[in-house]
Amino acid sequence: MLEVRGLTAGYGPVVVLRGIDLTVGTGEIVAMIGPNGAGKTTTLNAVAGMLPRGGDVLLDGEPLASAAEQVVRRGVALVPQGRKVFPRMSVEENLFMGAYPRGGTWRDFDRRAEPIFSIFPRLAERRAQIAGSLSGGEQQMLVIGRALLSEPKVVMIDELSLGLAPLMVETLLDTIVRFNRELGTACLLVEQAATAALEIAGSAYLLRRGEVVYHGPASRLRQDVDVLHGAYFGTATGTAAAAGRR
Amino acid sequence: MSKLLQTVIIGTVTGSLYSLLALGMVLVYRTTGVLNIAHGGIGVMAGFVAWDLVQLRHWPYYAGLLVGVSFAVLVGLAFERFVVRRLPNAGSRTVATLGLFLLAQGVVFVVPWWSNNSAQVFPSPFTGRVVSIPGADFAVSYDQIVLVGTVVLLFLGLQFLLRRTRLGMAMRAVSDDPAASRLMGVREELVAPVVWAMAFGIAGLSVMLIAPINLLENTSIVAFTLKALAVTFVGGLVSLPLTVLGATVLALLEAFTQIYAADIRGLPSAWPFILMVAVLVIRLIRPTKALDEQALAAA
Amino acid sequence: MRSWRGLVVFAVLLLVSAACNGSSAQRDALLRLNGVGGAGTGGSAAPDQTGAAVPSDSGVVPSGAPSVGGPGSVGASPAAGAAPSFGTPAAGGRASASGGSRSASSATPGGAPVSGGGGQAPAARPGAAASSAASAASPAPGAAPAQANGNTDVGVTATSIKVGHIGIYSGPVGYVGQNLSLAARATLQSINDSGGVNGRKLDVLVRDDGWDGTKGINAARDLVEREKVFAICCTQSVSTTDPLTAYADQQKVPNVGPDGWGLVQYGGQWSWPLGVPAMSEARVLAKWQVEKQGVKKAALLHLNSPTGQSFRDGYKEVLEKMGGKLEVVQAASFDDPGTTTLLARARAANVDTIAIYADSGIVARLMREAAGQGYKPPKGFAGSTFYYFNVTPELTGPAGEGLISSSHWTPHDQDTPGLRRYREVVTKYYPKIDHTAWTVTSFVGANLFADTLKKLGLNVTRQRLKDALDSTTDYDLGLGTKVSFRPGQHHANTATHLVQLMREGDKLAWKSIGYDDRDATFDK
Ligand SMILES: Nc1ncnc2c1ncn2[C@@H]1O[C@H](COP(=O)(O)OP(=O)(O)O)[C@@H](O)[C@H]1O
Ligand SMILES: [Mg+2]
Repeated sequence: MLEVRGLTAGYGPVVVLRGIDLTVGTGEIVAMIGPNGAGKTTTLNAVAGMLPRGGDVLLDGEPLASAAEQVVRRGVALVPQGRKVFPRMSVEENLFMGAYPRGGTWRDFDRRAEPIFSIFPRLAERRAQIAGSLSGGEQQMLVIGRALLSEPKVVMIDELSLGLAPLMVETLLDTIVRFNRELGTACLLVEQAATAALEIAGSAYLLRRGEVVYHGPASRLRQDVDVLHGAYFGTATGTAAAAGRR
Repeated sequence: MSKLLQTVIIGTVTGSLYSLLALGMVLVYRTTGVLNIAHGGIGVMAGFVAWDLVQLRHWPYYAGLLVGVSFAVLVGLAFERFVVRRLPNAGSRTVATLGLFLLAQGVVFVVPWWSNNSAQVFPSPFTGRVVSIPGADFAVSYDQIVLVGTVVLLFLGLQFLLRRTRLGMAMRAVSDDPAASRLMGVREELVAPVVWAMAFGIAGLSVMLIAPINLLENTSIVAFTLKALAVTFVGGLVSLPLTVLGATVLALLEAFTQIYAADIRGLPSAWPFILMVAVLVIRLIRPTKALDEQALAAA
Repeated sequence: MRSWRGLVVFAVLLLVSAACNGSSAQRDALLRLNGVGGAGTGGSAAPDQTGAAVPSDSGVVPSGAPSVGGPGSVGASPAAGAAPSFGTPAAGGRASASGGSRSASSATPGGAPVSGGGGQAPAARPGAAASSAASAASPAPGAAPAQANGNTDVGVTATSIKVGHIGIYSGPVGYVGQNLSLAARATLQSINDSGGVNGRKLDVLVRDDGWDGTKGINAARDLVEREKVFAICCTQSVSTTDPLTAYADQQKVPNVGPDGWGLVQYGGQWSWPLGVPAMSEARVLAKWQVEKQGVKKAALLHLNSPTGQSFRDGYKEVLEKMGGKLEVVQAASFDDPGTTTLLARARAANVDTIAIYADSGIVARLMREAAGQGYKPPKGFAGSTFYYFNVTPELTGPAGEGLISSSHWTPHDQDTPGLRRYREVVTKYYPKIDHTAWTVTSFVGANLFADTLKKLGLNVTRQRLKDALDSTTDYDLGLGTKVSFRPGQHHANTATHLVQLMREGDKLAWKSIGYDDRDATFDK
């Protein structure tokens, strides 16, 4: 469904991504992991239209526009790194902004938000609270819920668990599984700390220095710590390291 | 008894005047993070344009009003396009509004047939008509009623705009987090001009409503704008209800001290200052964050 | 990168606006001059046509054009278009009047030319601080005492007398204040056009104080200490003339014909005020209101300046001495005139009248607002000459009907030979001038200055001018008050006339109500 081929991006003269290939199938949960500075955030931002990019990005075989406003309307939503809620707007109003690209109004808001509130009952409880005053975990729920209100085909979540307590991470992973199952929304889950994401993902990509160094079933990465180790510390490419041990 | 009623009426009308100017400034701050110091100055300039057309060129009143407001709107669009957009952050943009204020003042002073009097007479079609208040031995002019009515409408209108419409929500989202709002499909370059055009238009309209009551006069509008600025701090620069409340309280305090405690010299004119200090002290005593949340909850 | 560009944009914006504001006062003044004067003056003598007005160094100077000497009297006035500036005293026309010109020395009447023109006459003003003027050459020993080069004192040459004048062209009352200055300049110009003072032209340097005493005193210092004027004439901006009194005494420079509105001006040895003090106006007004209107309770709104306070004090004193009571007193500022609350307080106190010391703008607001409330004190509104301008009825509209104002001199609706002459002189140069008490004061001041100088003959010195002014007796231009000064007694004019805004066709106009009285409290 979402196909990325030979994606390049960078900041000014600095090239960060040197040709990323990546596929997220319909209704799939895909993990993308890699050490700090590997280029994960850059990849997501480039796909979402927040950065200029090279290469091809296709959605259902059609090229995806390179302007962020159009990307979200086509059904690719980004939950950016750092829990970017609208801090001075209420929970409800943040969710309203999620429906914005779909032409959402207050009149149809309840209908649109209903499924999201059922996935995130915490948000329903705190409808009127100012988003800036929510806890970190609640803010993460809010930005995911907000992204879902744009009725995306695929939602890209950057650093889901960063700075959150393990229990909260578990809760969030559960909700991802839930909306993936209930709404059929595909998910590209980006994590630096690999273990949690790999539990729910079908396939996984390992990114290092702007290149994909491993692609395969998430279960394999989960089982074989050396592959991960190799990817993180660069002793060899992940697959080679894993093969060598065998 | 009638003295009391008169004082309350005077306070309410003056409070509306402060509110009118303050609401326009809150709109800009809340949607752009910029403190628009030019608000009153732009209003005066637009007021003079309308006055020029109506009083000197004998245009119909409402045509002059429309052109005056449109002029302010165009200035707002130009300012957004050529200044705001090229400046990196709210701080530098605020300073730019100071520059714009000086520029507007300069224009008002330079046009010789605008500045040939300390004040210019700019009546509205209602000027001269009054309603007497039973029991107060007092009359309120239609112009004053229009002013108060406009403040109520403007307050409700802005509340509705900022909380219930897609445009208003988009404006607030952009001011909260421009990058995140792009991800929500909001195009800042389409939203920001609307904010500035609207705010400047409101500024122009405000002065045109004040002029029939107070004459068209620069010094006092600038002084009112400063008071309105003090009032906006009561609402943390974002809350519309607290702003209107602050404006009304300030005006009532002024009216009551001027009328009942005139012997305490300097007290009436000290109120804006006292109000500012009070807001600062409250902010020191109570955590700023909690206060801002309250302001926003009330917004 | 982006912030750098932003900074540039901002800097440009600030510069543009600063430029607009900086020049606005000057341009404003000039535009007004051209609007008020010019039309209809056939001769080449209109002061506003003497050359392009070039903003000068002090920042408040609508200089250049203001020089009264017309193109026909180049020797005594800066050449058209020359901008005087610091550091280049010899540039342009300025030099011709600063005592350094050789052509001036050759024209010295009745005195042997002294080499190295500009020598100070030693006998004239020994020890004066300002006598370092024109010190390019040491005084020639043995030169005739006062006649060397015609340079009998600071600012005096064989062909000219340098005179400083400070007017109000900007600031809160610039819109009315400029008339005062224009009347003075017209009168001084008329004196030059009819031959000057014993062959010398008056070289008038004009400054704008914006009704700001600090600016005014800076201008006075510039005129006296840098430009080395001989005297200051016809300065009628009470913010400046009050402090100017002490400065004139300190510098021993004659200050002829200030407004006299503030009481301190009468304490000076070197100032000869001609207007009526605000306190005297207030006393006469209060007396009339009690006697003729039966006023018992009054409210008063006054600008919070020393003059405003003296108006308040004079009004209260007489009102309460005659059994009335000043129920409400409120100070006003231009930012916050407080008209709304004054009206509420006046109504609550049920006063008979509201007395005002404020400009036309504030008066108009007060009366419009009262009319809007359907309120008028039984005996109406009354007050100072501050708003005795034709702009007042324009601003008040119909609400202004019945407003009473003080006036000095014969009110302008009268037709007397003195007023006819006044109008003829003033309107020749500035046809559109708004005639008031103060424009007449300007006219009297300029004439008194020139007539007294004429009495001195060629030996013009500051001390001799002072002595002559101090012996002025019944100086009369047929304008209602005869002016007399004695050493230590400079209260020459305390006669207040009352005028009222009355309907004339579909407009309101000031009409005399046929009452005048003097305040005798200052008589000695
Ligand atoms: N705004 C930026 N300007 C310049 N370089 C950046 C910027 N953001 C990230 N980079 C660089 O791009 C590389 C990839 O960063 P990023 O995509 O944030 O990595 P990750 O999300 O995998 O930690 C890093 O070397 C980082 O230093
Ligand atoms: Mg990252």
